[in-house]
Amino acid sequence: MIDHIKSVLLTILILTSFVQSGILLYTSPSYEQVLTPDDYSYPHKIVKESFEKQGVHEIAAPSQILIHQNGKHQQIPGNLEKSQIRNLLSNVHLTELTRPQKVTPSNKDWNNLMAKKDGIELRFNNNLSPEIMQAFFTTDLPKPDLRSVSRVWIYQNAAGDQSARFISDETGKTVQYKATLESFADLIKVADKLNAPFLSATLPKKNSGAIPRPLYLPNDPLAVQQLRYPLKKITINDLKLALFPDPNLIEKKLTLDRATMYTDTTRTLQHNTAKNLITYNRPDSTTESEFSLTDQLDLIQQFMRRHEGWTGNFLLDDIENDPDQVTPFFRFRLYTNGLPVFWDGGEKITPATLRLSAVGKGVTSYDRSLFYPALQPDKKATKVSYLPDKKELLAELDRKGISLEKKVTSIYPGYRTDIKDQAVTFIPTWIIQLEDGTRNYVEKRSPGR
Amino acid sequence: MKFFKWLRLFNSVQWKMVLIYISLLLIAIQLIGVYFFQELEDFYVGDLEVRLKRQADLLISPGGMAKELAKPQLNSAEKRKRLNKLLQNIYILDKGSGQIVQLLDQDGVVLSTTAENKSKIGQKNPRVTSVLRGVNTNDTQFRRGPNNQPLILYSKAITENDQVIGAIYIEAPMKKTYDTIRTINNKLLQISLFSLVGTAILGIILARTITNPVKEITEQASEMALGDFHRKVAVKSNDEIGQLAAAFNHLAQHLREALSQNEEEKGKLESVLTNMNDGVIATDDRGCVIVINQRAGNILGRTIAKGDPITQALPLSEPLPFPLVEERQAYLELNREDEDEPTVVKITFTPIRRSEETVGLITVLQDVTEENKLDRQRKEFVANVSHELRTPLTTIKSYLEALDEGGAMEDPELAKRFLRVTRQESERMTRLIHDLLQLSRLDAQKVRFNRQPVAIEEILSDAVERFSISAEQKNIDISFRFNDHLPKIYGDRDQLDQVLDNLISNAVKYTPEERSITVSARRRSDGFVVVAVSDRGIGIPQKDLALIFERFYRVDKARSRNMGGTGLGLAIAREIIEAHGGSIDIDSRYGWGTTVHFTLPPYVPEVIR
Repeated sequence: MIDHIKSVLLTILILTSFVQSGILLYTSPSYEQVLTPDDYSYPHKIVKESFEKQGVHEIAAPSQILIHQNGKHQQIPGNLEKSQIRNLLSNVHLTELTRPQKVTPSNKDWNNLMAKKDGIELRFNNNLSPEIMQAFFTTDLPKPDLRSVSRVWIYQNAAGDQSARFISDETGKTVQYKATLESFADLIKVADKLNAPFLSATLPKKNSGAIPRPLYLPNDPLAVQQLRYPLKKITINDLKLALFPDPNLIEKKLTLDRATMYTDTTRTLQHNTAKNLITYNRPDSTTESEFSLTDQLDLIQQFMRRHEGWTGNFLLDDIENDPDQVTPFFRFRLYTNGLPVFWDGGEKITPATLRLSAVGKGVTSYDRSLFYPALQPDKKATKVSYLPDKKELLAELDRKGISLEKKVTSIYPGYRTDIKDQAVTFIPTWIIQLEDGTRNYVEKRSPGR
Repeated sequence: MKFFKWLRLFNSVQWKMVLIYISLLLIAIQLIGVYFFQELEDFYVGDLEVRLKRQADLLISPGGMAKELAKPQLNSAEKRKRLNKLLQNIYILDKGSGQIVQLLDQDGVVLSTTAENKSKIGQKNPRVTSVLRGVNTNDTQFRRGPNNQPLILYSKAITENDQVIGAIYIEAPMKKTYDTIRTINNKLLQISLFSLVGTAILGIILARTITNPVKEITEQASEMALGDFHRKVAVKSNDEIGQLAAAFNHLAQHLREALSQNEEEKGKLESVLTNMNDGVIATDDRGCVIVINQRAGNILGRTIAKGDPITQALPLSEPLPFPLVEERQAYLELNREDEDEPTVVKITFTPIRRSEETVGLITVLQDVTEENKLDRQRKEFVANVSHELRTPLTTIKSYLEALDEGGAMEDPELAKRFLRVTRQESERMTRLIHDLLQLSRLDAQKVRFNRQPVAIEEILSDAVERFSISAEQKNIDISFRFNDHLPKIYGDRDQLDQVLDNLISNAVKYTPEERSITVSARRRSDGFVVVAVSDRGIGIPQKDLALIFERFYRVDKARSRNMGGTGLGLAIAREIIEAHGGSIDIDSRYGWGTTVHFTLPPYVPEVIR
């Protein structure tokens, strides 16, 4: 018996020896995973090809650019795909603006400005915050003492002195800057180079003292391309890979009837499967932000660029202030062929709109549709369409009972959409922006003209 | 086979001890090694980790990367430039040690790096996920780099208002650290190895000091098993081994003595067996001979070897059943060609029992030929005595009946003759009874000899004189011759007279008339006196000579009886002479005469003393 116990003890001793060797081996640092450069990866892109925004100024760019030259008016579509326009915007963006001062120009002065001085008028769709101007120009721009900015008019007098007027149509106030825009004369020639149509200014009758806001309409029917784009869809998986730092940690947390929620505990991604919309949220506890709108746009720009979120040329359309949130929501609109796209349907978020907000160190919310029109149109389906001329348009407005003086804030060409067979047709239309915020469309009256 | 040879080698106590010793030492070294290596590694790696933490803290510190990262910037490109510049400026500690420091944003994308290769900028670093998620404020990982060198990866979250806004990631080579650890470990291993070898040698020596005496004792035990009890184990110490050796020597001595006694006993037993008058044969339970003494062979007249079946050794009429349950006896008659009488052997079979089981057989062979012969002689003697007594009684009875009934009394002459015959027969009976009584007393050694130194010539002369008349009556010349220097003898005169009377009377009886009888005496060279009574009588046939001294033996029974002989004279003479220390024998030639010689020892005074 004792011999057996001894044998067992000896065996245990030898086994212990092996176990200790194992422990020694096991407790050594583990280097199973070899660190290779492949560990690093570029942030996931949700589309193969996106629209490249070269800076925040290309997000905060004006929706319309008007060139006033020798008393003539031409509108340049904000088509950033065209190098001349991008170059123009880049130069304008770099305009040095100093010595702001509030001015109250007389009507004569305004008329003189329109009729006799060469200038570049930048029109923004909505009355945007003066800070947005800092985003478009530079942060060094002394913020204009205005509640909102509707237009920026850069002009040059006969002596060659340049000035810029920041106009708030909302308040009827103007702040003038001393401007320095390199190659001003060359820049305004871009309109001719692009064969931009000549427009005639129609000045609705306003109350006295109000800053004149002419409507620039063509005397001849306006030729605009009707385009058809394949409608593409972003997969939810691509978005998960793009929006979460480590996709391995994502859990499918909540599944409702028409929505699925994904989270990694620090951020959520809600997928509305019925409407093919997503809402991305990254909660931020920052209560007071020292970040300017420009900073926020910069964050948005970085965020969108990182995952190729700009599926088209989106421009800042509006800023929504939410009392429950420190920072506002930025609404962006799709511009195709330099013209704004208005998607059919009553949804706030459509393939033509994006909504983002940023606070602290990044984007906190991101709403978008999973569908998007491709960057390249179907060339076979592309055709030129003619929008009604000034006369026809005004007659149509008259017929519709829309008073230019009281209701219309602006009229500009744009697109509305028509979806068929997984493709979307961008139909040219006059956009009549009304003061109550609604829009009206006036399309061609006589096809083939 | 070689394997088993090696296995047997390692099955020895010496190698077992060495193996156990080395195993224990190995375990101890491993135990120390495990904890030492672990602690050493923990210390150095921990130290490196602390340095990296310090580096990261310095980079994040107020005024460092955290502030810059949190600072709003209009232009992200410019911001990156500034971050990069700041990183290069602040990165002071361990610069040139091969470390790579990265600054990452909250999505894990590299914003800036100290590495020469800036290709990582803009890419996601997957190893900072845990700190970016806020699971840990810092994280340490160990990996191997592309060139297989160990790396420590340290990441630390950059927070603002308790929110993660980025991270610092440091990738540091651990080669130097592990080189240091390895150097120390190698030293320890070398020391351990030397210790192991040293202690293994000591273990072998220690084991040998224990096992060598045991081996010696084993060898001695083997020698003892072969029968050599005279060798001794050297007692070199007083410890347990020494005590074992001493105990072994003591045991050997006791065994030697015990075996010696055993041998002695065995010798005695063999001696007893050899010298036994009886033959002894022992067999095993199957009846094969295992022990036999010489006497058994002699009795059976044949050579019996050990292992022979006893049934072959003993020509029994009935087969012997094995195993034998109880004692049995049998008689065997062996006819030998060179002997007149058959040898009668009494065989006693006794089973050997051990714990109620018969394990063998002891066979005792007794030569009972002489006993049978004596018994027969006794029976013959009784028959002779009866016959000798009945014959005169019958005669007396018939004569007395004739006297009583036949009217012989009326004839005085006849009656007288009848009475004379009756008296003669009764006298013969008296003599017979007298002789028988004397023989009986001689046999029982109840006769008290009145031995005295006497001159033999005087006794002989008187005896011759006593028979001179009866000789003359038969005209027989009886003479006496003797040497002058006859020594005296030491004897009972009466008894010697009786011997001489018997011998001379027989000579007179059986010597025809006009023949001669000579009584002579001479001194033999050894001092004994030889007396011879020679006659020129009828002699005795040669075949009767050997039996002539037997009791009641007569050559011619009727003639002897008629002459008044009892048939006991010579037997009595022999008993008396032999009682005096002499001997008697007879020479005779039938028809020529007979000479009876007897010797008597001389009187030697010293002998008496």
